[in-house]
Amino acid sequence: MELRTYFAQRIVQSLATIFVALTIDFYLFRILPGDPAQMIARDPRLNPQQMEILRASFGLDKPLYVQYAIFIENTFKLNLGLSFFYRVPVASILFERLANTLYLVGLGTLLSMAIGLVLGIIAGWYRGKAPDRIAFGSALLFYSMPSFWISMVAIYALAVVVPVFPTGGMINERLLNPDWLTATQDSVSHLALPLITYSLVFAGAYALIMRTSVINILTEDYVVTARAKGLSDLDIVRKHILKNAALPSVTLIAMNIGLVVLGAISVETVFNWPGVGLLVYQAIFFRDYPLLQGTFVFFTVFMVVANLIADMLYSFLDPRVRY
Amino acid sequence: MLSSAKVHRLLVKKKSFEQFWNIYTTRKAGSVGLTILIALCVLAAFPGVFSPYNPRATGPVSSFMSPPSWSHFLGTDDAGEDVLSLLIWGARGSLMIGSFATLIAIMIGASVGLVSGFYGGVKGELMMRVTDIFLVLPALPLMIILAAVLRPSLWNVALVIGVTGWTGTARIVRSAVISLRERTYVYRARSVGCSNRRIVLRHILPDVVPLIFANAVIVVAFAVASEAFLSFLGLGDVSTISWGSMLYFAFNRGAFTAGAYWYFLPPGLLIVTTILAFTGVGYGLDEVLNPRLRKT
Repeated sequence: MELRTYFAQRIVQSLATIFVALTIDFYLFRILPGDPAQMIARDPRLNPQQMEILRASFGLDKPLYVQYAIFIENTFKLNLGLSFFYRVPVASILFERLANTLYLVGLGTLLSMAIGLVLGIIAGWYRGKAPDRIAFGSALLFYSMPSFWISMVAIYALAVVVPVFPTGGMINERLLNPDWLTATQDSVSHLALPLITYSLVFAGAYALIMRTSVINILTEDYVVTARAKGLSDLDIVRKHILKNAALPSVTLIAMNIGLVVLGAISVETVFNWPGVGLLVYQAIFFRDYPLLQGTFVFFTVFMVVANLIADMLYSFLDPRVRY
Repeated sequence: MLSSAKVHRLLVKKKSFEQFWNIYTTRKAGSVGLTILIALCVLAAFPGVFSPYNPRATGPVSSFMSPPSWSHFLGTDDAGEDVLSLLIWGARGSLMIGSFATLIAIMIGASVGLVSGFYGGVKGELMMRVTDIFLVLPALPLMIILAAVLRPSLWNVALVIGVTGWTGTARIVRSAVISLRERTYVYRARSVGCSNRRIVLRHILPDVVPLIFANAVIVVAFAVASEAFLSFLGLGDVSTISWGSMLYFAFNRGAFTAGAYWYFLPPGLLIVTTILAFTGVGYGLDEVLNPRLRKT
């Protein structure tokens, strides 16, 4: 198949997936018990006329298929409705929180990929031997731990028993007009523990993926040739294994993008980190359905697009792959 | 009396089981995992026999979140309930939700995989495309909003995990079916006039059953972890005692900042143990199903 056809097909498919997700999102919240107008008002004293006006202003008096069309149109215009709890547009809260999440998750993903890469290569290279057993064992162990639980353990160990780090939050709000040095120290100390926790959890997953691809590559002819040429082990790893092993990892990591979302929700919630992940927890806690729907749309689109980009990237990176 | 044909069949079965067992036990992970799982299943089946207290028996205020002692080996939770008893009953809750969810996921996944992989031509192509759209639908956000909308109960939690966790199974079954449908025995079955339904159920399904089993083991681990995650978010059924609901209370009552390690550590450790045990069994089954992995 022509590469362009494949890309076109994947883009259409991704759009269809987002559409299906939006449809589920729309109808799911329409079968909820209770009157949505009452949920917006959160006040039983409004009289029927006032309720009627409220209903009309949100388009709730229109037939369901019209509401559906409006819903789809609004979503594409990034109009995600009004948060019941915060009383401001959902999109504005999402964007406000997005930077905090990208900060933590971005750094965490880079760090965990670096750790995972090294662990995975060591494990794959020495497969079946002691270094593999240690690296593979610990990767599997961390991979199996619920991310919210390991966050709790981290706080208990490094913020309660040995109080090195603060227990949560992003900054110490009680610091009044701190100079830049204190402010930086404060923000770094708040970032450190969630970052370490996040990286530990995902380093395990990435190491497992890397190990498998290294083991697959070790049997390739070009590795045998490299060895026959008399290259040192380090050179074989650096010049022949690293690049090729990183290839399948790109897609596999993107396919496991769900892990990133899972990690963001868990770590942010336990550490009280004001990001999009914490927003999911708060939306559930306050029964704030528009906010929950907003985070759903956000994460779904993010994951579908990440998958799409990874697939496209992969066919550029590895010219041997043709669909 | 057993007829000689029956005896013969049983002997063949016994022999193939022995063969299976010999290969399975070459991986230590498989044996260790299976042993742990059997132990957990015994706990889950007879929690009343093993738990020292009624897990819902609350104590006086003075006994709230008390550390391990001779009367409570693993201390008490924030309502004075015995943590060890909660853990034992929790095994039942977690494994029950895990297995129901797996059953649902496997049934959906296997059906979708069989049907979408079997048909060729335009009809098959179309089905494949539609299936693909659902296969890349992100499971995690969907799981969260489904659970948020449904009333939390043991069944609903299992249902939510099941209907969002079937895609992996579908993928594996589908790729197996695509290669199986071109086999000679399928052509022969068709040439003697077998219906599609019969070919799928009698000729293709038996060949993918071992694959489905091996996959189910991974799905259970996923389901146990998902139950814990949903509970943590407050979407689980808090009236069912499970390791997830224990962690929910431990988190919301601040057991980790209060230093009550006996309260939040054990449920998490048991979840990790369970997931690792299922993973180990998965490796053992892999050894049997993938002859390429075997050392010669």
